[in-house]
Amino acid sequence: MKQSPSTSMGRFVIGRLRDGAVVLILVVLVIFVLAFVVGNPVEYYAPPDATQEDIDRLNRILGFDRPFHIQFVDYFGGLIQGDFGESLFQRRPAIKPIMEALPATILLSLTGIALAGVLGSIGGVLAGVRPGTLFDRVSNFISVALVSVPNFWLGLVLIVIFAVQLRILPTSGFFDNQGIILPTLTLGLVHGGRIFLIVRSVTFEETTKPYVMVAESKGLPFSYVVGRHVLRNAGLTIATTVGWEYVRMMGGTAFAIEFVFAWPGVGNLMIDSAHRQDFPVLQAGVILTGVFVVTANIVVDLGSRVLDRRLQPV
Amino acid sequence: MSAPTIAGPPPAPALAGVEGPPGTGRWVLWFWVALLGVFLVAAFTGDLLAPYDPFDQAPVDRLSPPMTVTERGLHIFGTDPLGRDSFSNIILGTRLTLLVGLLATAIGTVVGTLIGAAAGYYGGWVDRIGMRLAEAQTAMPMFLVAILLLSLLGPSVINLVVVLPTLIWPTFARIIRAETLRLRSTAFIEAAQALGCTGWTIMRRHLIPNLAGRIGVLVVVSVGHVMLAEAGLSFLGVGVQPPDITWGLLISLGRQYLAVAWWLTIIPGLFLGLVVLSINMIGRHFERNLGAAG
Amino acid sequence: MPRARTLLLALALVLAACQGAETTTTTGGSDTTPATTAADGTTTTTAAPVAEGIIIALATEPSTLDGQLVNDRSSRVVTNNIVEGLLFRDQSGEIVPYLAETYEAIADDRWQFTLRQDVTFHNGEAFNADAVVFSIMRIIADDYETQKTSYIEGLVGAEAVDEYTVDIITDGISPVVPAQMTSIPIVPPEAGADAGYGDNPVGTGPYQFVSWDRGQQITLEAYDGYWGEAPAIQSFSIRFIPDAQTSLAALQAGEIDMVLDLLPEQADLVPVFVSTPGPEFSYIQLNTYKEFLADPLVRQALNYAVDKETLAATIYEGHARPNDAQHLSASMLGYNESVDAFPYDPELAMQMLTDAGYPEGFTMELHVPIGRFLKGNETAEFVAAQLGEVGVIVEIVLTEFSVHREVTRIPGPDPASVDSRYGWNSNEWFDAARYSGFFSCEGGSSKICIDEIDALHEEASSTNDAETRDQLYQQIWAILHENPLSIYLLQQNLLYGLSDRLQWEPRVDDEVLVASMSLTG
Repeated sequence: MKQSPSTSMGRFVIGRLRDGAVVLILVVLVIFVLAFVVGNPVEYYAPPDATQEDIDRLNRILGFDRPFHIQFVDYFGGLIQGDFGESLFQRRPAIKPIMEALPATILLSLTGIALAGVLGSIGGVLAGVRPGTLFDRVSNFISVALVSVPNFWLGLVLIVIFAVQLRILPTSGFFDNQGIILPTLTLGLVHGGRIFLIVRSVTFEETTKPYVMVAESKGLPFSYVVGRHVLRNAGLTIATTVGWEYVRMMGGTAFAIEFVFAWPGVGNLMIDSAHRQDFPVLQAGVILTGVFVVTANIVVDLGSRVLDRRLQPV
Repeated sequence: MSAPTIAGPPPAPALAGVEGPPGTGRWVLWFWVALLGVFLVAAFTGDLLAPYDPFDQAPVDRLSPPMTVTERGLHIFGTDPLGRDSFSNIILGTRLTLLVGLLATAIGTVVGTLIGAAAGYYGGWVDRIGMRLAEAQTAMPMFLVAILLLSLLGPSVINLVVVLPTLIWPTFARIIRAETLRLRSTAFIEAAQALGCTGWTIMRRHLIPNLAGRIGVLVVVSVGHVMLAEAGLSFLGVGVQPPDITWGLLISLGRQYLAVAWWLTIIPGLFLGLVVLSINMIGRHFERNLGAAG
Repeated sequence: MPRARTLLLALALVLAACQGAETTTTTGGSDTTPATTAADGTTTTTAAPVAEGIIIALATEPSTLDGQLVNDRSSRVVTNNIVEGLLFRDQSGEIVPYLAETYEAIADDRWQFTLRQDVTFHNGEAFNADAVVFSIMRIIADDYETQKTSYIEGLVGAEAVDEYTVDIITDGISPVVPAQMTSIPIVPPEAGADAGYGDNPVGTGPYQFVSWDRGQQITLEAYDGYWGEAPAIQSFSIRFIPDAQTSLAALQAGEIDMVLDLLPEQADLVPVFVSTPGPEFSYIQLNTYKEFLADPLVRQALNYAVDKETLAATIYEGHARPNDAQHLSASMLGYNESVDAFPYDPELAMQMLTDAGYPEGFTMELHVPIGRFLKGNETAEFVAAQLGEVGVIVEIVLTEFSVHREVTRIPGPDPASVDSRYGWNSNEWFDAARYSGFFSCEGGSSKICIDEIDALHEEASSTNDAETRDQLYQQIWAILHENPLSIYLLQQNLLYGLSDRLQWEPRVDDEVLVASMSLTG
């Protein structure tokens, strides 16, 4: 490369941010158009015996009867200043319920990915260095199975087993310290399965590399080789895999699991808002989640490139 | 290693494990194919296979556990909240579940392949726009956007089939583009160009048949992915609605009875898991045989 | 190694977040831990939750605590403990004085109320005629968009006559003002003018607002300046538990004291189960402007074709009963005792259909909102199956609630209007006038037009005499028995799950007033 690494990295980040912003704007626009054409949230919030005049009046008060471009410009102008509009359901700034739900989501997603990372990495490495053994085959199968079943269904199964039949854990709720166990377990299993498969594959590939045989022929014990070299080289991939899995989780699975366990996080808020046509909150959620995921993507991508440059394979 | 200009998570599907456990043999493959075959048969001939009319209500027998015997006979998986045979419902649900999954995957495949091939072949702004779109979309919380779109458009089978492909086309586009780039520089394409074939013909006649193998594996993986997504969306209430039945919907309908009739929710999910599992297992087998994952 | 570092970072964040989570969890209640002595001399101290506080589970978090703004159940459960109206409904549904001591209609467009003089708001503001005027003007204001539209119908203003006398001014004769006054909360002029009132409600009620931990719970505590009897329970929390399994489990474990909206299937699983007839009724409204539904005989046939007994006994597990073919129940004004539910008689139904000219039956669309009513799907499918047996093919159309509303609002004569819709309503006025919109020709929800009914309704609306009105509405419902406006379905029960220690008599209007509760032992 003719440019210095930092400049090219800077350009890379800016390029990706720009792309991300473009798509976000597109998504907001598409949703706005659809909401304008198809949505009718006022109907949801008007009292049961509202007449057509009442509906029209409400539309007028909320500004929904203005032409599309005016509404959009208004909304966009507000966005730039950080104003996401007002929640139709709660009559307060749309950003507030999201901010309040955020800690719950952060907590659950981090514990979930931590568990997934631990299970997947350790299992994957162990399986990768012992291909063909019973452990390897069984754990492979289990992992593929975990990835094949619907994640929300897995959560329901855990609920049935532990909460309904055995009655030893609560089905959901933020109040109990125990309430986090089942959703974390679900996330950990589902994402752990995928991490396992990738880690195993990478680890196995490492062990087939020439340097392993060379080291072994020198008389070094296999476990030493694994500890010092294999893991170091595979470590990068493992870390980035966990990172990508976290991004993937925030893009979808976390929401479904929050819903199943009635966990008061952003995902649950989004689904509730979708059901009650509370578009300002939904828009805000999509935008913020989008920003987060785009940023996380860039971070993980960037991180992997940086580490890649630093950690030259032995 | 991912192609230099394409960003986003590495397109490793859940099936890394190229150097898998040796000696699993062909009989395992046939087992999964047979299992899948059973489901496909059920999808086509559901009406005949089902022991009872899935719409036959008998409210007095509602929520009976599996293996209950009523006036009508044996209910292997019990009855639903209106007394309808659960097993028959599940069989009926096979059709739409598989249909939506396959159809949405097909659409996503076609769209993704076309965009990817065009991007790789023509380059320039076609490439830039197409790939930016794909890249950026992968970075978006698409599941959430799908929920939002469906709640706006209204939950229905048609809207599902429109929205679901958006979840998978970027992966196709990306991979097809990479392959197209690789093939484009071969003499084979240049020869065709020299002979005066138009871009479209080249893509159709030469490129795509060569990509078939790669596409095939990806399709197999994506079907499972799409089926799970449909189940998720129906479960959240923005997908299929009664009287259409899919397994995702059955899981959702049974959820409120989890404390008293857990089988209503758990069993359809089990079936879905089995179908996707067999698809994944078959996919793994072919992937292994094809070589590198991607 | 990157992996270890990431894990450590994750752990640190988790720990930090855990701390955050715990501090926002309040357990509500006072500091005193009373030791209560039972009759046999044993002393019990309640361990958890906190001593004098009870915990009520709600499935949906209220959108706001502005009692004048919203009318949904979730919000009312909280606000009706905080704010009060001029009048009140007692346990049996009768209207009795409350913040007002007396009331009477002094003119065609005026009702005069004399107020209690010993009432204060929680924030110290004085309760007087000015506060009442403020409250009325606030709720009827054009840009206020209250959801209690039926409660402000006909109200145009209020005037203070002297410090404790106030006139409510209506647009013409309005016999329903007393009913409306039971549900219009009186709010203090200063606090009520604040934009943040919905987050920090102030009223005259037995409990005052303490805190709202969004997403988790709301806490209230007894107001010691209350004008009425001091409540037995010092404080309570309302906890949001959306999942039915979880609230059930919490109740079983003794963590909470009350679950509202219990599912019928859970009846056997709770410590104390209460099922009481409520003001809610379900129906399938029929559009008489549609050719195949025009003949009253057809609509009667549809009523005979549905087995409501079985519906109530199975799908609602016995916690409902067939509605007496009126959108009313027995304690309400206008209820006609001689009108009964249509018995289940499919042969008669088929005979009637043939007589009306539909021997082969016909096809009909039934619009049902998604997820809105308890077991709505199942009921719709049940009814569809039953009607199918007499030859009427029902196509169920499931739509999102707002779409459903929009579509079902289209007036009957319009070709785009729906054939039929499944609905629930609650007659919280205990008065037939509440749903006159269903049967008057010009009514907003009406899909029927019978001149005789309109005439009777006119008459009933022009007098304040309850007896006369009662008679007139009874006549209307007699007509609507021969000429049904719906398939009359069920009168739904209210289902509650209580803990062992909670003493409470449910009310017929589904209000949850903690002031009437106490703890055993």
